[in-house]
Amino acid sequence: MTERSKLRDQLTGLAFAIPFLIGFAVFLAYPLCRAAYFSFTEYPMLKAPIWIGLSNFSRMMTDPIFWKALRNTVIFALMSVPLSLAVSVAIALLINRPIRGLAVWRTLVFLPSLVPTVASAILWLWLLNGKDGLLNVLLKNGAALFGMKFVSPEWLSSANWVLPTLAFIGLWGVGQTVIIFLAGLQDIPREMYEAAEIDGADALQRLRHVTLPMLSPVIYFNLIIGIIGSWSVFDMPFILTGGGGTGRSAYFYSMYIRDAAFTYSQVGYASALASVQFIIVAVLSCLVIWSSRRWVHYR
Amino acid sequence: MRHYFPKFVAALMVLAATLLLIFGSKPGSFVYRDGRPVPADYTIVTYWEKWSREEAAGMQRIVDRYNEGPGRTKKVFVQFVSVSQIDQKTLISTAGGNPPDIAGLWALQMGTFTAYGALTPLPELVNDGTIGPDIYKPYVWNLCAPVSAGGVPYAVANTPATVALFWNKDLFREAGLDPEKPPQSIAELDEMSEKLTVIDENGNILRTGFLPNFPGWWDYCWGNFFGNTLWDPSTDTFHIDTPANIQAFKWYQGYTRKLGTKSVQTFDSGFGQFASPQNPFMSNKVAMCLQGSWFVNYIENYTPRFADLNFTELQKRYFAGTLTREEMDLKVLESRDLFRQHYGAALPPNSFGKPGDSLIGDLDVWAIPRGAKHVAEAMDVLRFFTQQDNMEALCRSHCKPSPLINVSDEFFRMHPSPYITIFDDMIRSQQVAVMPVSPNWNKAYDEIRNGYRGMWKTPESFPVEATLKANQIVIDGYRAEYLRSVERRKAATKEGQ
Repeated sequence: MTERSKLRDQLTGLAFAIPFLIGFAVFLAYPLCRAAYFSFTEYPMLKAPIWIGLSNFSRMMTDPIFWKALRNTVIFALMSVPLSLAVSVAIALLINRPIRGLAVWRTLVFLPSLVPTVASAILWLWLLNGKDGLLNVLLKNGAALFGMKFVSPEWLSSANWVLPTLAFIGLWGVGQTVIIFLAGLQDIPREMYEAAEIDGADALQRLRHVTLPMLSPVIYFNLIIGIIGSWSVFDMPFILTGGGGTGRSAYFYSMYIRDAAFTYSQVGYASALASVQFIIVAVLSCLVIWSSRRWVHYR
Repeated sequence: MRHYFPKFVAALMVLAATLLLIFGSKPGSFVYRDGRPVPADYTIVTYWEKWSREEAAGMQRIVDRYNEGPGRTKKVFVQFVSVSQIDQKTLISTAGGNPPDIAGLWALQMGTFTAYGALTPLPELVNDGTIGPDIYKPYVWNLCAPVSAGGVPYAVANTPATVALFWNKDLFREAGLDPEKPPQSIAELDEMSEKLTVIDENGNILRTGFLPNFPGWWDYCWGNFFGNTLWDPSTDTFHIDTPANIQAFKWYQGYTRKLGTKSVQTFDSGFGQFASPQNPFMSNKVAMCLQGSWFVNYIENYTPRFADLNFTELQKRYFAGTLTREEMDLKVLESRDLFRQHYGAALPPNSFGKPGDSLIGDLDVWAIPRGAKHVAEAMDVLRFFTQQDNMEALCRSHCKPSPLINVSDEFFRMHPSPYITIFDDMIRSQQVAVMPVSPNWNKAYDEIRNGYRGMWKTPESFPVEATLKANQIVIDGYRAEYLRSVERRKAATKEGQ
């Protein structure tokens, strides 16, 4: 290959990458740098930013709403990430089997993730309604069959129930994760199962010693995506709890960033909150990457 | 052919997309309501408004009047857009340098907007007699030129809101109460509420006489009905942790405690949307509630007995030409009589005096955001909107009183609400509490709302004294933070000089 054609190839490659690079620079890198700068300023949106050093960060330390939002987000992440991973793997395993109407089952699993958030939120609002919600009616009738009295929980307005309920509702959109797991499962060589069977492994042992280790790169990918997603959760809880729930019991970190910026017009403080969120997610992702050496197995 | 065809198609698609990008979104393609295009040499005044559905339709009719009348001679076209979350969108667009020419805001937002310099001052409209203390009722003018903005006029009033006690006369009759006698004090309200409340054998609430958290729009004001002053405009301080407010919220929480937290939660989780037949007042689940004059419109729109008489429908038919003015007026009078038979509205009771000694209110306003591109034209449009006939047409369509001092007899005679004079008297009263037009209102409101929601839903976790104390500390902190910010800005300006 001549120097000239090498250069032409490089230029062609660059030309293809340019749209992405422009998008990355304009919509990601620049806003990220600006937000980092604003986090050291007081910036009420309609007036010029003033440099205030670390004041926004020190204010966070004494801001009870910051701690409340952080606490809720951590609890939600701890519940929702493992739950959605476990359920996704379980569903993927089920629809990976040669069962009747496989295409229909797979479609049904994926379908909810295509429903717009607002529409599904309204649906959940009615399903979980304390008085006439289908879930409470079913539970009540079920309890009555066994002669028990059922006290219907207020799934979304009770401070004790709201976070587990939201984590549970999050399972509604696992379709995409399931499809990724399904692809991962179908990539596992058949011979490995055959070898395990010859060695006398039962179904559970095959799952533990073949499926899960072979699926670990996909689990690893979905874990990181799940962590990022749980830290930026906003729309569904916002609609379901009317902006944060009783006593801010479902007030998440992203909601506080949005309120600080657009309701209270404190763009500087909101940027500082966003920077902290970025650092937390980056640290968690690094921890997962670091730990992956111990539990992720590549072929 | 096989090789060249895809390239040819691809080239065509690229060309089409490019042409679409360049010419497809050509600005200035505005049309009148009947589809005629607006001439290219017209100035387009963009008007964002928070109202939707029937209320937006009422405003659109006034905008059409302008576009078809003075707009034609002055070559101005008003583009009316119904916008959700208008306060945030107006702020962001103003910060971005591309705001609408007119924004329909709430007066309570004025504190934040003026503090950040987001609005254009309107002394010109005072000088030419469009707005001013001689034009508006006193409470209205105080909100247009708020003390927190140094008394500078920043807004043009459109539809005011004061709140009365509505009651269901049929339910009063059913409970053996005099349907023409509403409660005269908070104590009487509680007493009547108890008589109107129905609980089944399993302890489920079927109906309550009154529920202080319904509709929940003015819960921050309950203290006013117990003698509290929520906000002091001279110092911009909020009075949350006060004996009167504590008394008010103990009364508020008393309803949950009396009826049972779980029962109340279950009961009110069954309430439908406000603008629907499942509204608890319309579906006979709550017999009394605090509401504004517009509630008459909502009741008529969503209660079957008004199917042929509701004002929204009558107006539609009138403007469609299927109903004459005389026929519409007759129907309005008929609907007023029917409304009076079934529902009442009276001055809200309080704990310390006679009804009306404490009143709360709000106001919708028009403002011109800073950086608007057509300020002179926008002012001209606002002059037209505030003319008495237009203002009365708008307020009638919204079923609200007029903000103007001068109101025609016709307005009262043919208003869709049979109780409009009560609301008009309230706006003229000196007893309307000064609403917190504070730069810290958004933050303070979120804090207060969080407190009263907690006090209502989980009284065990939110004891009144502790909650209000915590609210006060946080809100005082917001004020201190705001003052520090003002000082910092002053210092920065000095350094810059």
